[in-house]
Amino acid sequence: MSLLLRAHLRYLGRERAQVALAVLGIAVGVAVVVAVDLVNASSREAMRIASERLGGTATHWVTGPGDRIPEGRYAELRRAWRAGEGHLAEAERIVPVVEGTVILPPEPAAAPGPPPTLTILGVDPLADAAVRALTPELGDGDGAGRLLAEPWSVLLDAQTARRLGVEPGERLEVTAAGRSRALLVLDTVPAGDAVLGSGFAVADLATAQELLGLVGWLSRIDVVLPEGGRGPEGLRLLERLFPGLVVRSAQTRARDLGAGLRLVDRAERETDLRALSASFQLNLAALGLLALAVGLFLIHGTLTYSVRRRLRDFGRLRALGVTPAELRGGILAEAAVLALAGTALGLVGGRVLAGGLLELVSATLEGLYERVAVGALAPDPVPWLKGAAVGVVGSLAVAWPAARAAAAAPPGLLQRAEAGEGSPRRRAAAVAGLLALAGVALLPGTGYGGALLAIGAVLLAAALLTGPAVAGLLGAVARATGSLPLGTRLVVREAVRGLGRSGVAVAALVVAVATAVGMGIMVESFRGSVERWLTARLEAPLYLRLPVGAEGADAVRAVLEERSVAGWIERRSFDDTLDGRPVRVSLFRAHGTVPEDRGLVPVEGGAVDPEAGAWLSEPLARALDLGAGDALPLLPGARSPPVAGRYREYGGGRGSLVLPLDAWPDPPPGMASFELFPEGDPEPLARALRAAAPAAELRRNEELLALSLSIFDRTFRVTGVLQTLAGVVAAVGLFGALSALALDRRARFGMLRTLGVGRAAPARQALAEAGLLALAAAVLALPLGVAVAWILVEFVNVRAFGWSLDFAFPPGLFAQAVLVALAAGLGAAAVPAWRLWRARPAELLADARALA
Amino acid sequence: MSAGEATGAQPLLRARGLVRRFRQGGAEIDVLRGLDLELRPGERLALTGRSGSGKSTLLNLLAGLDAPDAGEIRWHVDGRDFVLGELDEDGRTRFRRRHLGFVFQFFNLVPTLTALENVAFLAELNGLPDGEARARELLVRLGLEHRLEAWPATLSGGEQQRVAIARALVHRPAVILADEPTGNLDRATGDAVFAALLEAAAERGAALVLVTHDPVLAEAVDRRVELGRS
Repeated sequence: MSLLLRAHLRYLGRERAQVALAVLGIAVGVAVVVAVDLVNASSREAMRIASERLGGTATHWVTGPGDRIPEGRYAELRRAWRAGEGHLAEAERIVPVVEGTVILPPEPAAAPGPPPTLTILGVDPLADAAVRALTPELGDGDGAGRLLAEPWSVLLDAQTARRLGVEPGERLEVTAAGRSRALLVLDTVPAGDAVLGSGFAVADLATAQELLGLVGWLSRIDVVLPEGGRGPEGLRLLERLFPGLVVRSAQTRARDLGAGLRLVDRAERETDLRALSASFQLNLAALGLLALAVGLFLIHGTLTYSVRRRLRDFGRLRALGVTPAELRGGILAEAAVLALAGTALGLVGGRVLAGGLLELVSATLEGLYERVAVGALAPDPVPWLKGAAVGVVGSLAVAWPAARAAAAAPPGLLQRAEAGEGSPRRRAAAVAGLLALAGVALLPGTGYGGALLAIGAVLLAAALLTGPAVAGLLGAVARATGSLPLGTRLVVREAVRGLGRSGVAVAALVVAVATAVGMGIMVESFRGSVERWLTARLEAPLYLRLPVGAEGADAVRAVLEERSVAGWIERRSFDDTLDGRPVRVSLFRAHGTVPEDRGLVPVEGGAVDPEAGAWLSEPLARALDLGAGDALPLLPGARSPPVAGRYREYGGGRGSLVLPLDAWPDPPPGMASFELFPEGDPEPLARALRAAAPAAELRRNEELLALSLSIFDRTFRVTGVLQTLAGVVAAVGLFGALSALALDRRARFGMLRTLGVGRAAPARQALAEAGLLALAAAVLALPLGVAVAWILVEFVNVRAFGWSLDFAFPPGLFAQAVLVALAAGLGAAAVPAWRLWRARPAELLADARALA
Repeated sequence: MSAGEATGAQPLLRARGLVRRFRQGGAEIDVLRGLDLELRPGERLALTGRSGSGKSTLLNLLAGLDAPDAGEIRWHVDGRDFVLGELDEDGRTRFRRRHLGFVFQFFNLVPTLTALENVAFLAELNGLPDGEARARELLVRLGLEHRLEAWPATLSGGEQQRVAIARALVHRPAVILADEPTGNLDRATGDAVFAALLEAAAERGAALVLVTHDPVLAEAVDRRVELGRS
């Protein structure tokens, strides 16, 4: 190693505290990025494994209206296939499938929310082995025979069996179609390490049909077509590298098989399902990158300041014959050491953090997208490699300006130890460029990725402006305090003077607080909108639901008529596909006196009358680009009335379509639900309904509202955690900057102590200065946060999820942001202040002599 | 170790048997070994000696910035005795603020205060009501009337040291402790600054303890104590 390089690295050894903080900053940033990526990768992996386990080698699916196929149609297709006729003549295999979910008994001490569920896959055990290598047990005749022979028997996935503590030969209590059943667990199905949290069980077709209330119906028919494989694997790597990206194949979407049946490409169908959670994954990744960006600010600040302090040394080295390139290389070597140490720590921390985030993300995915629950972290190398790359490359990139400044030190012996900040003209150009980029990114057609890019550009522009803006603010404060004692004026002036050191850390704090404010406003706006929507949506005092296949709809109607209930709305709901997009269809009919808005909150289309046409949920309408008066895409099995309007809905999964009940003459089996508007106390009616339809689930509206809001809050907990982590990195940065500032000023404080300034004064000054900087950061962060929130509310949410939100300005949030900034500033200054208070004047003065 | 002693009236300073040890590596080094020292009001004393002889250490002890391992330092100011070893940290700070003035080799002005403010700062610390007027008067007296609002960074070395002298005197201390006050100035500027220091101190009746390597300065004062000699 050259002596010059050794000298550079020894400098890091001398500045241990600063180095440790920079390493910590980058480590936390990398850890958050890696953790988010690991969790995203795990949720994708959970989907993939579930798809492979449950889908087998099927290349295509035959689906019917409402995602249901009458069993008889399968028999016809199979006869035609055996005879080598019809659309499926080329198929190697065709097998029937019934799929649905059953409810498991609630786990003890479970959080409030929907009960745990289990996916039931009903197959023909003899024919299915050729399509789904689910288990060897299904392959050998004995296992399949037992599944057929034993009533109510299933094969349970091994992980779920472990989780529930069920052994082969034991019975598992489940609830489906409004009835309880005790399923006999014949054996377990090996499930691999990382699997769906909700688990699955395999039953024979007839058992599944009866269990799920789908006697006479299939969910789909799995088809294996020759050369019908998936798209290239390379494209999937792109999806892993860039969360939020969903690569679609260019194949045709569906082929009409007649009588409402369609042949759809399985990969294409799964792409649609994957796309549902892609925007959520992108949001998480963006928050992870924010934490890393704040960490990179720290490296930038540490190196920039260290170069400023050493300009005189660099000038001397240049005078001795060291080239600019050698100096640049030295600083980059310092950055590389910091980056490698921070990244290595970050990778380890990322694994630990991912374990904690997994549960929160899983809860969010379950809240938003129903079935996708993540059981364990996937052993995917991509997040690690990506984390290592962004940590090291990012650090070197942010070190570049400092390396250039070192190389630009003119040869000589008398340079001052401090140099000015970067050229204002260059900075103004950068800010203008970033703001222009933000504007372009917000243009229509740039998607939600563009909107997130705009937020990044706005934050970066604000970070560049932070130094001058804080200096301006404090300058104004200094002028306002012109008549105050010199000791007070000194605090403000020292804060301005210290900005060369603390400016970058203050910028990081501004970015972190602004993001927290922006996200906070967005979440509050979201919560307010959801609460208003739910209050309107849950106007009926009583809600009744009959699961798919459960008996009792007629009995319910009889009770309602017998008791002359003033009004009620009846819905029949099932899943389907509209223009290649998964939707939940609700067939609607109102009876008697019901509220004018019919429990829907219109976005467009005037008075709500679901019996006059098709009403689309806002996300679905946006995705299909449909508005009032447009023709509804063809929905096999239904008459397709024109679109009457759009209504608000805040769900992450399938969009919803509300049709008049008579628009679907022969609807597939689905869930029946009733919104009831009795006059007076609803309890007597509830009792009568429970007696008439034991399978019915009855809920009061306030109960549903509380449950929905608790799911909402749980859904947003993960974003809160990631915001907090970015704030922690910013506080670490501020701590580093203020410690260095205090260290630099020890000599001056020593002189002041010598002149007779009390021992508390330096500590007081350090605290007051930190408080001032934090306050200035908060003042800048508030409007910036509002701008971030505006982009989030008006662009990101609309583009990513199709949700329109009512902007909310919670004053408590602003006060909280100011307090958090102050706490970060004062907390960061506490240790340096304490050290100054403890130091004896002679020690401080010795530093003055050493510096001289 | 012995050092010269003053004679005559009640001494301003009486230091007896001062010992100060430092650990360096594994060894203990006695920088001061039983030093005695007296100073009369208004007397000008030079502390000389080679590097490491304990000049700055002694100055720190006299100012109460550091505590001796043995011995006693007694100041007699305004009719009162101050034994530094008997004062707590706050007491020593208040004593220093009120009765001592300092001039450093590297000026050590506060960079965020103007020349006038640097001087007025000491008056403010001492609660003197006419601090700014006193500061202005002193700076004018030292020839800096055109630099009152200048920032330290824009002042020459000589000008900065004149501001430091004004700051040392603005609160009318009993004694000025000066640590190599011309060590960072060229000969001509240093001579002029030193002359200004002597004159201003004499005008206000302040004693002077001067740490210096410069034999010319050491000769210009009333008495010289060379440290590091038995």
